[in-house]
Amino acid sequence: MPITSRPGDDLRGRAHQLRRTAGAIDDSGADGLYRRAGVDTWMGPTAARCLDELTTARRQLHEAAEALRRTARQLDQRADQADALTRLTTARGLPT
Amino acid sequence: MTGYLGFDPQQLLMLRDAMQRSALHLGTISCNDIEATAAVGTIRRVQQQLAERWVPLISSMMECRAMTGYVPVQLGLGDLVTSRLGVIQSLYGWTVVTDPIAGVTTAVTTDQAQALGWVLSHRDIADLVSDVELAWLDRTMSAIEASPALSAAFMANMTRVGWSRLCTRLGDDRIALLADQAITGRLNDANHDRLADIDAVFRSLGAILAGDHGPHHSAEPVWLDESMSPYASALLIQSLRLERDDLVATATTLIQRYRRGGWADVQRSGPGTADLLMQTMLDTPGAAAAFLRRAAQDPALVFDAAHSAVLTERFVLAGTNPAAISIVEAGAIVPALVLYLRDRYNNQAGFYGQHDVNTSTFTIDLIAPWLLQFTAAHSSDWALQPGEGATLLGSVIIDNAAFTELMARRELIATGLATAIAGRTSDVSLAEQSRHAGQDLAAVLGLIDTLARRQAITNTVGSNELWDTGFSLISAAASFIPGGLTTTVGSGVALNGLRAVLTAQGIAPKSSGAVTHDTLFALDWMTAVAAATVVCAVFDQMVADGRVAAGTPTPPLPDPTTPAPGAAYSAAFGAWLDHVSIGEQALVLDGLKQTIMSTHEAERNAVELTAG
Repeated sequence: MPITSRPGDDLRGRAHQLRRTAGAIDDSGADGLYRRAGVDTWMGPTAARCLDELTTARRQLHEAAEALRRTARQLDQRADQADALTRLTTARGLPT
Repeated sequence: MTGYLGFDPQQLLMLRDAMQRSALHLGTISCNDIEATAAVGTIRRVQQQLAERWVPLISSMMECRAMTGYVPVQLGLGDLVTSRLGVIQSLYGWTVVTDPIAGVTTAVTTDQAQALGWVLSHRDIADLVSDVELAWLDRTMSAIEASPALSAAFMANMTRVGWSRLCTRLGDDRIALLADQAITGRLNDANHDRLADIDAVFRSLGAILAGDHGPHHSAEPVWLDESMSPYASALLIQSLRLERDDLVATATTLIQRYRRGGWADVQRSGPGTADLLMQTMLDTPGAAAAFLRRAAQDPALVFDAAHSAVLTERFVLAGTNPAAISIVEAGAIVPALVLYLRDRYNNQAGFYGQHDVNTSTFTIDLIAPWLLQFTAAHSSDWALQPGEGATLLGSVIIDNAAFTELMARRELIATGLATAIAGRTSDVSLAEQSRHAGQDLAAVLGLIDTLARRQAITNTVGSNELWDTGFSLISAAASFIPGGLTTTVGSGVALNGLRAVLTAQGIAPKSSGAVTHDTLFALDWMTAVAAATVVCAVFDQMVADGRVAAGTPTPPLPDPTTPAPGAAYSAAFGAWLDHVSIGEQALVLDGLKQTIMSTHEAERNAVELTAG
């Protein structure tokens, strides 16, 4: 019996891709750079500016990853809804 | 902002490598989904920051390329502004380079506070506190003061030597600035800012010490360290919020040290050590009186210490105000201060040549509220011999001018009299209250009588002053006679009659006719009026509460037209008592009248006997 793809599979594929991107952000190591850039390493106006930028970058990357995961969840929900709709119309003999 | 960049080469290398790895990793991330557009934009931006800005910059610094603006330097340990980097460079082998980035402010950190304490404690800053450094120190100390953690870090490295050196240096600076200001009339903008910075630093240092609950409190406080100038200690103390007794003990120690000499503020203009301490004590409730109790043993501590005679006078009068001290406490202070001032009167130069206090007015200000305690009747209040107080008083009130000054303080005298009477009015009968009030009134009048006779008051101004003083005292005492505080001269039927007599004589309100009597007559008349006032007030009260029938003839009034008003009043009063039927109330009124007239005479006699 041949395997048939479900209508929601494309959406699930996109969600997977977004989660993988979010995971790659997490694994980049950029999240912990600010800890290395404190006064144990260097100090002065340049050091202060660098620390500010790394702290900001950390926050922005974290927000980006979260946004990707949130979007992935929404895509999964849409996929489930699409599959459910297909099953319903098939059972009632309606054209899909 | 220091203008320098310090770094640990090993740590910085690790940071750069981590940045490189992150940049590489971020560069591998890709996602074509439309929903990932914003996230990918963020990833690219961060990757670019790391790869194109920070990694090259750090690499450049590690290679010590002077063309980039990051030039290696060796910091001195005496520079306050770069104290933190200087300490780290010296102790931990960090590399320091110039930092071309400007306009970035950095918050004070714990290690910066520690480093500042270390530098202040281990380096001589005598010639290093420039205007820029001082402004920086002001901002930094303000930040340290505001944070308990930073304060603790600062205190951890700040030694007694550091405190002494910094405070004495800044204190000497302040003295010089104020001396310049006194000479030239103003400070230029730079020095004006410098003075403000110094004061702000002292406020911060004082606040840090005030909030310190660490081990420093177990030893002698740093502000009492012998190596710190008394002036610097006094500046610190302004912000310490010491308890009254601690403040007074500290001020005594510092003023004693200051008077040993050799300090920068001794010969300079502007507020000195004692001025600062006196002002701080004036701002601390009860401290002025407590200090004067100590200074009574050595009045030079108060009279030969401050630069400002005005401040000294204000301090002494605040500390000897009847509202601030008890009669017994005043007995330990006022006579000692008066004696000191009297003895110094013939030797006008102060210990350091400062302006002498104006004895003719200030001593009288000091005496006036306590005149009752100088009387023979109250000699036991201050452990004086009967008449001793008046003798001391007579050695200060040595001429007409001084007597006039004393009379001009009639309100102070009356307030002192009222305070003394009020202090004894509880738990005694109304008749006793009246008798005490009458006695006190007569005692003060008798003392004034004695002083007036010595000065032979014959001029119009002097007589007017005498009259005004007498009636201020009568009015003050009358307010404590039965009927309560609402009873004053002229309020009842009998008193209205007395007021009519006084008005007719031009006494209330005054006219030139009131001073046609000679002094002897005037004082005799005043005593008669005092007795009549008390008698009339009590009589009115007796009528009001039914002890005396309404319609009873009112007591007689003194007759100013007779040659001897006192004797005439006594005779008229005796005749009135024989005529009216008021039962045992007659004994009360007769007792009051006798109390006033006899106390007045007894006071005068006691003084004159002592005076020989």
